[in-house]
Amino acid sequence: MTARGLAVITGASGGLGVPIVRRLADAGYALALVDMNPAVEELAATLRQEGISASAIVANLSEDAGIASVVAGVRAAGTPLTLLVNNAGITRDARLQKMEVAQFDQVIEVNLLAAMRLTQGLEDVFADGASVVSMSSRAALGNFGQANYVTSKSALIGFTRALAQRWAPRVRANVVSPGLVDTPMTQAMPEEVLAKLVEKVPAARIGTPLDVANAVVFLASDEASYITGQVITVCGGRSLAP
Amino acid sequence: MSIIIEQRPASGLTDVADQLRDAFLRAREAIDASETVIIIAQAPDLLGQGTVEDAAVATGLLGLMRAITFEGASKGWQINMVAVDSGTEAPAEILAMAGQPGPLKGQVLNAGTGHMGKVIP
Repeated sequence: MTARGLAVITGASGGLGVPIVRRLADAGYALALVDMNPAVEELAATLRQEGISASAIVANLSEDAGIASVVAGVRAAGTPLTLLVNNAGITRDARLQKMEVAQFDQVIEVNLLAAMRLTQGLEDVFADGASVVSMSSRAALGNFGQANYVTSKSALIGFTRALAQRWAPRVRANVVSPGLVDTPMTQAMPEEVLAKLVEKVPAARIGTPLDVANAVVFLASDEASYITGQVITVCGGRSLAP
Repeated sequence: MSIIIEQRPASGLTDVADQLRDAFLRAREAIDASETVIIIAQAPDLLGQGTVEDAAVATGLLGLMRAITFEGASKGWQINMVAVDSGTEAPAEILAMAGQPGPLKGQVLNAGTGHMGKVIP
């Protein structure tokens, strides 16, 4: 058993998921890595080779069976569940008038409903003093061509605010809202486009995945034990700048 | 003319998705018809004081309003939110203000006092 207990991370094999996983491992958590992508099994195996306690759960969180497999995996781990990181997310961008209903529904399902379903499914499994950290986005404040994504990420904040009040004082719930962060998605942008975006960041740099992971670890820690229902926007000041 | 979209109590996750999709479609249709849009939400749900489902709907609608405002700022699209306290109706004068074509775009107009001293999302 590890000192920090068990952390469940969804979207664990994604661009932000892997850095969060590694930072949580550094912080001393045992890890249950959840993803639809079977590549998560390879990630868990790699971590175990490094001496880190890690298991993989390949699951579709849109299905009851997927939720059940995560709950069963957590119970089987034999380590108290102290942290859930709702990190799984997708984009299906389109201008408002071009956006298909399916694009809207898919993003709401993955970014919002799956997180709500899993969090509530784990209610009875959380240890006292556990924490839920959900990944929203600075885009929750508004963004072009992302009516579906903005809706989902804003709704995730509301869910968290209500959850924090309903589950207090046993479990805390908070949100991390990343801004422009160096991930495979931003690395795929044309260099000049990315440079223009960075120009708008008061911190004068793109965020690193570690910047985001550090916020997750902080919110989950005892140092944040009086913080619940809040949003930390990790955006280098972009959410304030013109 | 304004199209009014009103938050309803959510009966479950499916209803959360249904309300958000319905709001997306109705708002888009209104904008296509050059109409203004007013979303009426429950202020306690914006603060997360009710169920998780109702909070998700209220803040999801807030996000939708902001996304549409962001995308349509240069096109004249107008959508605002009126937040009402529990058991109250949106006052006619605030609805008129929210729907009046003009510079008021992407705003939450609180019709009560329940939000005071709280962190507004």
